[in-house]
Amino acid sequence: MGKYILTFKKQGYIKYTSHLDMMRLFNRMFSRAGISLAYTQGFNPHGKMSLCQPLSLGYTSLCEMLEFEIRDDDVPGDEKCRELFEKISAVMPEGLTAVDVKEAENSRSLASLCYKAAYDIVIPDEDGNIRRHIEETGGKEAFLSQDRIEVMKKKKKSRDSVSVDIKKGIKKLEIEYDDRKILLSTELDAGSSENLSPELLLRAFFDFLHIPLHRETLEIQRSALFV
Amino acid sequence: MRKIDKKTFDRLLGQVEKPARYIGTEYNSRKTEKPGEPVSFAFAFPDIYEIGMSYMGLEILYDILNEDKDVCCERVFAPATDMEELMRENHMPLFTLESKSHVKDFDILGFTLQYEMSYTNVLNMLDMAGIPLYSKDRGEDDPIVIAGGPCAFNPEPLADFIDVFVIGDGEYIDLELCREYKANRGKGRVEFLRRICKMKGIYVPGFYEVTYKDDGTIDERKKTFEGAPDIIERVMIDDLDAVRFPTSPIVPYIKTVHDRAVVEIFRGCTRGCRFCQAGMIYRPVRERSRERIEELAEIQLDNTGYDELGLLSLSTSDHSEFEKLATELTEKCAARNVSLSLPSLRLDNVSFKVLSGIQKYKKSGLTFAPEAGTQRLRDVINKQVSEQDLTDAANTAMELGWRRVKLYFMIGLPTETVEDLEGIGELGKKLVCDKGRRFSVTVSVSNFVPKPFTPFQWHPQDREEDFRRKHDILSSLLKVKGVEFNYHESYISILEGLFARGDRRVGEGLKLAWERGCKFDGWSESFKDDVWRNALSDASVDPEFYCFRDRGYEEILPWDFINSGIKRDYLISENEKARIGSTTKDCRLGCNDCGINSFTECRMLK
Repeated sequence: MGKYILTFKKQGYIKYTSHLDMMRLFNRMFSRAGISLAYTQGFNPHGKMSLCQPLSLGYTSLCEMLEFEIRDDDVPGDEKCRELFEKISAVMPEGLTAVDVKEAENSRSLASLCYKAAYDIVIPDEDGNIRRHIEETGGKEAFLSQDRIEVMKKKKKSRDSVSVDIKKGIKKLEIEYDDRKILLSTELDAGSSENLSPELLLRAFFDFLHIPLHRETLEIQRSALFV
Repeated sequence: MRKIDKKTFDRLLGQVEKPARYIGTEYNSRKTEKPGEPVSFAFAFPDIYEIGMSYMGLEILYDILNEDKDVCCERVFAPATDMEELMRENHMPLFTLESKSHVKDFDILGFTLQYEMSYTNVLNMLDMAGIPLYSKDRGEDDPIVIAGGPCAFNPEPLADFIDVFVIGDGEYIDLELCREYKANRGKGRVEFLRRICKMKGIYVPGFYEVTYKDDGTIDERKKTFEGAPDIIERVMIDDLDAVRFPTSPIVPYIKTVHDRAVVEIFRGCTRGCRFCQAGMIYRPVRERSRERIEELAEIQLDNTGYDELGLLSLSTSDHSEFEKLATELTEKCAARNVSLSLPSLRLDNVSFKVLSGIQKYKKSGLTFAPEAGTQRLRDVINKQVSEQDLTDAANTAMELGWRRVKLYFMIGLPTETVEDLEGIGELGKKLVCDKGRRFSVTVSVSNFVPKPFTPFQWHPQDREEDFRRKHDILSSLLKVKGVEFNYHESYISILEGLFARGDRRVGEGLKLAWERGCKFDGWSESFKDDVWRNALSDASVDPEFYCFRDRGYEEILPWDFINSGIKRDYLISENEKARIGSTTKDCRLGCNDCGINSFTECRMLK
């Protein structure tokens, strides 16, 4: 028995694979790699593995983390990690790249340890209109210095929207301008207790700028998970 | 080949449901770049990704074609309506999943025809690709459009839209076509078609003209190219063990209908049910050896990581080594946490033994297919299941712990009376509460559609009002606690019948319906009942003639020029036996002289 953490990148078209589909994908990946996962007890046993923090459909990532428990008698250690890394790398689908495999040191789950995530967001700005609005409204300083940063959020079960204050979930926000695009890098609450999706931040920011947000034109990449 | 604009594509993907339908790059999908000038083949499935990726035939051909050094095969599915809208808005043509290339730029575009109600999608995909709908309007810049699959056994409704039909097993003939294409590259479409039309299993509809009598039936088929054959012979694989079978099937990112490893264990069926087209056109039975099946299963599981394995065939328990095969596979699967699924079992003792081994703890539903409600009608259709068999099976199922049963029936079968409907009701009720036990029973009733190359190919089909009346009768008969009753939309069955037995003239109705927005007709939520009715009427395509008419044996049927290997006389004699309720034995018990033995070696003959 050993508990490990696989860090991997998710790039390219595979970003259109949802969290649930990723879990099925990893089950099959381990099976192809000949790595036997430990199974949960109970009526509907399944392989013990979980992703640190779900990644929204359409986002790429440099730093996804999958925690898994395997069923063998090998001594955990660097050598075992290397072996797992090689086996996994050989059977990963296009777009996923293993970065490393490490022994999990903490007995608590990754999901419960995670508290923050960093994102890089590219917003196309062909005519410089968005940049103009940012500069005219006082930019991120003005945005962040509001007493409350309110945005409408859909409730999970009912379809109603409620207004929420996301201010304390924003840990960092940087704005840079590049050729015909705006680069936004941000650090947000992430995890099981407090969580702020970059999409809510963007909606709040664009509401503040009084310009429409074209979600489908954005590129969002998760660049770090803090555990 | 031209590629779609990646930036636009990305923007569209961000706006559609299940974008993974369009991205390709799945594990085991092929990189399709080869040196030289390979023949490019776009394999098209005229329905959405999740349906198409559950079709084993796609994997088989994809594997065989890509294995060849001179061929590159890529996939394309019908984009769902949301994606289609965006593609049309953004002038993005139909593209393949592998290299995201324009389908129009391929050498060959091959459709598989699994279901008549996908025909509007065939037209829609041609249109989205920017390829002229009519074969006669295509030029040297267009692909050769071919089509195969079970529906190609009556190719005539699509004769004006398809350049080449492949009749029979596609394994080798598609590769042969590609080789011929390579050898004749640059000589032009007509020359290519002239060369291939003599190959076994190949039908080039453009080389024939059909004339009709005053009563609307076929008068004559005339050749417009002297070298074209009079009779098209079905092409066939004699030995399944000798052909490639996928060892590394594609593993989709999203859930498909059948999301599992699949091994085809045999082709064909010896039961001889008179309504069943598959039971006739896939004769004779050709088995894959047990050893090979087990080997393929293990390799596929190793290479895909699937946690489910399915065995594919008609009447799976008829494999000559079924018990051993199933027992060994059950063990192997259990050892690797894989569940085994056997979708087409006869519920005899052996099957129960196997099933209870597989479903030790979790009992999923059981399916029985008596097809008709009385013994008399089951004799007519030659479905050799007795009421005793059913009761026995239900008892065994009960003892072994199953609580859910699904029953399949057909209505509108030849000679059917009210008693046969009552029989369906009786059977359903009997299973729900007999000797104090409780089953939950689902009764699924489909509308019988007479199909070409079956003994019932001459029969009139029930009218909509007949189907409706029968549905009503059954609804009231089956208003019983614990019974769920399902049935199919009647008008779709009429259309299915129209295209199953139609001639070249029904193509105009199809085109008009598509022009007026019909597509995804197999999906009840997108089926446009009124549009179809008006389109057929405006195109002067009358279901009265195609569906409800009793055809005589002397009539030239639109598909008569195809030799399936089964003698026409055999179909006639089966139809005559049906009229008097006389059964025909399973071929394994002795030859019934269907004719296939003079076509190829039938191994059922000991």
